[in-house]
Amino acid sequence: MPLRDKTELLHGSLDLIVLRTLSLQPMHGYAITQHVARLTDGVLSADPGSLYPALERLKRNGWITAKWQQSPTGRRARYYHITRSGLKQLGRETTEFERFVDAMRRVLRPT
Amino acid sequence: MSFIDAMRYRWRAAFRRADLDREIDEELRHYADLDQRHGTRAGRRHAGRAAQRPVNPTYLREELRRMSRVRTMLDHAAQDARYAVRTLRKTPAFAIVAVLTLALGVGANATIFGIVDAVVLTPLPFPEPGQLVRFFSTRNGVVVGSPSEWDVQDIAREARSFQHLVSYDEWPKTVRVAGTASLPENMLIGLVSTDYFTTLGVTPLIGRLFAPEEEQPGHNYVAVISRGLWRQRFGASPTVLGATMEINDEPYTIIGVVPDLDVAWLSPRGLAARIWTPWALPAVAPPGAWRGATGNDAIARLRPGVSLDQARAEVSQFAARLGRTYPSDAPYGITVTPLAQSHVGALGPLLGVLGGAVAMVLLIACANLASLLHARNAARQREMLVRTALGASRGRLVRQLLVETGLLGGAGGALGFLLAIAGCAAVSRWHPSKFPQLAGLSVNTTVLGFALAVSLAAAAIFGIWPAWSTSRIEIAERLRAGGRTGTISREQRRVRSALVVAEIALALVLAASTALLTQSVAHLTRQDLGFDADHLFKAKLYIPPVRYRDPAAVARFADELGNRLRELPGVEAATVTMGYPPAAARWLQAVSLEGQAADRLADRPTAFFTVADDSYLRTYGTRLVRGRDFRSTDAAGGPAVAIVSESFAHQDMPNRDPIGARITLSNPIVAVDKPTPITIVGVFQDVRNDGLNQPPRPQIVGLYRQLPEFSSNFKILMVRSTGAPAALATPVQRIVRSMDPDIALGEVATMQDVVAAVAGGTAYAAVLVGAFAVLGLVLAAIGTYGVVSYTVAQRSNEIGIRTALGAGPANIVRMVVGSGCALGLGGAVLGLLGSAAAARVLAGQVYGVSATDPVTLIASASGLLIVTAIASTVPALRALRIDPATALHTD
Repeated sequence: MPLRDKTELLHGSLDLIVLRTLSLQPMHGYAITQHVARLTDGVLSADPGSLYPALERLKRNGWITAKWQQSPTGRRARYYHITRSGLKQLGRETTEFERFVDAMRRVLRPT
Repeated sequence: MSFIDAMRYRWRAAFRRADLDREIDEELRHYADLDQRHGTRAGRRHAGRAAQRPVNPTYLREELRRMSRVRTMLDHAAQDARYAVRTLRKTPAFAIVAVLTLALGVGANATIFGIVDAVVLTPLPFPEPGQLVRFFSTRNGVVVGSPSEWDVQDIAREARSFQHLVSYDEWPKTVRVAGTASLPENMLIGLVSTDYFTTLGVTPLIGRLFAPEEEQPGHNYVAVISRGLWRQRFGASPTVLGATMEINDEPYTIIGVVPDLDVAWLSPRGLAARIWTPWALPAVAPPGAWRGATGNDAIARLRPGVSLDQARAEVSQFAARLGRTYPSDAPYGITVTPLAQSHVGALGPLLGVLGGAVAMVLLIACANLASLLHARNAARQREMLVRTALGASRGRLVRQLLVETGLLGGAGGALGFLLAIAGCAAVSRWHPSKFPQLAGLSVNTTVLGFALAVSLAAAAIFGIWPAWSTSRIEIAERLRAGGRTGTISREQRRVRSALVVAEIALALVLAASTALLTQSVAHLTRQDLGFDADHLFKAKLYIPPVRYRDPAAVARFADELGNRLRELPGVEAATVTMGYPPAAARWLQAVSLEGQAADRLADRPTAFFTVADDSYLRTYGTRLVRGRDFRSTDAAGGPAVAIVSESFAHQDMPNRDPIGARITLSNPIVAVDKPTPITIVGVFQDVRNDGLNQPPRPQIVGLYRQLPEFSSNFKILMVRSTGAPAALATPVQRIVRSMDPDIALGEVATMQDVVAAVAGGTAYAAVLVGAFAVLGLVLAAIGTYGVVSYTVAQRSNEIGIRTALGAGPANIVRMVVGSGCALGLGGAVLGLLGSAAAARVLAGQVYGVSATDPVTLIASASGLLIVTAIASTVPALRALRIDPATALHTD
């Protein structure tokens, strides 16, 4: 079942999702959406309304770069690449998130 | 994202908005198309699709556009820069004058910095250059040559401060490269041991250095050549190893090639050797060998961790020990100095003077710039007022002015760097021969950095202050004044006047310094040298010992040469000698006076000494004061005679008649049991024999035919011509060749050239400081012109009223030029004070005239007043054209 509302995607976790996705290979925006949907069976979604602002934000921080490239279908598409500092950021955010999940588990653990 | 990417991104965000918008649209369209094509399928597969909120594409596009446009400080800067470029282009005259002013100031400074960088700051091109030191002998604390090779051998064996220590020598010799049909050439040969190269840290490119047995007398017929010579003469072929070259008619085998050693600055001749042969010395000093100070050189490499002071202490103790053992060492001390210090050499004090001069040029340029910016900002008050009224913050306005000055600074720095490239190329091309370290001078990134840093700093400092004073203007006050462009506070006018006064003062210091240096050069070259430098030709030759085995043979050749030269048409007199003033011959002899008991060598007087033929005085044009000159009857084998200078007679034999007195000399070349007694027969006028700016030293001249033990194979030809002396080079060479085809002339020059070279440092300072003074004067004139024109523009109202009330043109001109001259007077007074202060720096470079010479100072000040008067005449004439009606209606 999908999450009820996109606001439930905790703030910042979209950045983590995008960085993680781009750490696999450079992708264009639509491919990122598809990858996230496929991987999470539609539980999480990165719709363009939040994805593109997120990409712009990541770009501005220097964690990803955008390049216009030929897509397999022969069309010009903007591909996003993760940068070295993006990879570092990914590491940092992953650790943070794991600590968060860990903490939540402990809170929710039946006493 | 790299810095470059970041900048590109900012740049696009600031300037390529349309592109960005287009890209956003294209990207969203791409997404939408894919979504439509795959949407249905994907939706079926993922239940989540239904939950996805529909996206409003217009809203998203706007959101992305807004994000891409968020202004950062850099974006503001970009905007400011665009604005600044636009404003500067609207006032090209201001922009050009400001940039040029800055460029001239920066260019002059960067050129001098280029010299300082190359000569002082850049480490010597050897490994661990800080360990390299040079040895000097001292007598009563004054440097007199270097320790003898025997002393150096002893120190090298025992001293603990040094890894390597080597004495070396260099001689011009006749070289003929075997296999090439070239004529023999006079080249400088370094006489060294392998230690010379290891001290410097130089390893051969190909081949090897000298083996120990090759440094023994008789086994020394091997040579190492420089890479440059290798390329030039052997086409850089490896077959050079084993090839032979004839040096003074003896075959030497080439065994190695080393990199070019650019050490001309170490050589008193200003040349770098390109061929080295072993200095074959006996392992043990011959008994009775002359030790003491010699004209050789000695360099060493300190052991790691040994300080200069430790090394000094050790050699100083060693010198004392040597002095106790060997009488000829007794008068001398030994000291070491960093080799880098020799690299700076006599340029050091000169660089101080030049650095001061360019600093003043820069200050003048900065004052001009500040004054320009100040005037411009004042003229832009209305613009500032409007922008303030429209809500621009004061910080924003100041920042914009700073960006403008930053642009000016960058442009001025870049142009100044180009000027420095030209300046350094000019210095590399034209410099006195005594500063060979200036050859090959060129700019590098350090100089570029310096130019930009100075320029930006100047622009920042002199941009901030006018910007501050502009933004300080209270809006209310401005509004009360009706926002008129012409109303400037008195304070601002005072500031600009003060700047111009400072400029004029600095320009005066430069002008006065130039005048003093020029007078010094005139004094040095036109003073009574004790000889007549006009129409005198000089050359050096080496009479090879292979064919002229004993001093008698050498003397026969030299006398025959002298006779033939005197027969040459256009030759008035000629002499063959071994030393020549004013180039310090540095042949110092300890003298024993007959009848004067001086057991210890240290107590004996010393004098410059040389041997010549009997035409010496005649050829030099030196006056005989007492007694007689040499005669042709003073024959070889006869009683030895000598002539001495007046200062020898006064200083060393004060209470006796020198004529007829007998002296003996300790011999530097061979130890003799019984020195030849020499009778003084004449006294000649003092000659500048220790450079041009030192008092004449006592001098003794003997005849080489009578004193064979003092005659070496080196001889100098001096020929007095009736016509141009330089024209003698070919006929003299022809005569030498006709007597011996394998002897080449070296160091050919006219005596005027020699004198000019000795005075070269001062002349160079005069030329360069003069150029900077002209620069300073032009800038100060521009500054005066600017301020006076500004005053005229500002007082056009008043001038209009005066004209309307009947003031004649003379009144108006007097008023305007008077205001300019008032600035000039103020500047002159300050400048005179400044010159008095500068005199201390200049004192070491000024000869024959006091550094505070009142005539020079007053003349310079008057010249400067004339310049300011002229600079203010132009605006005065413009003031005459002011139409009272128009002036009164303006604003």
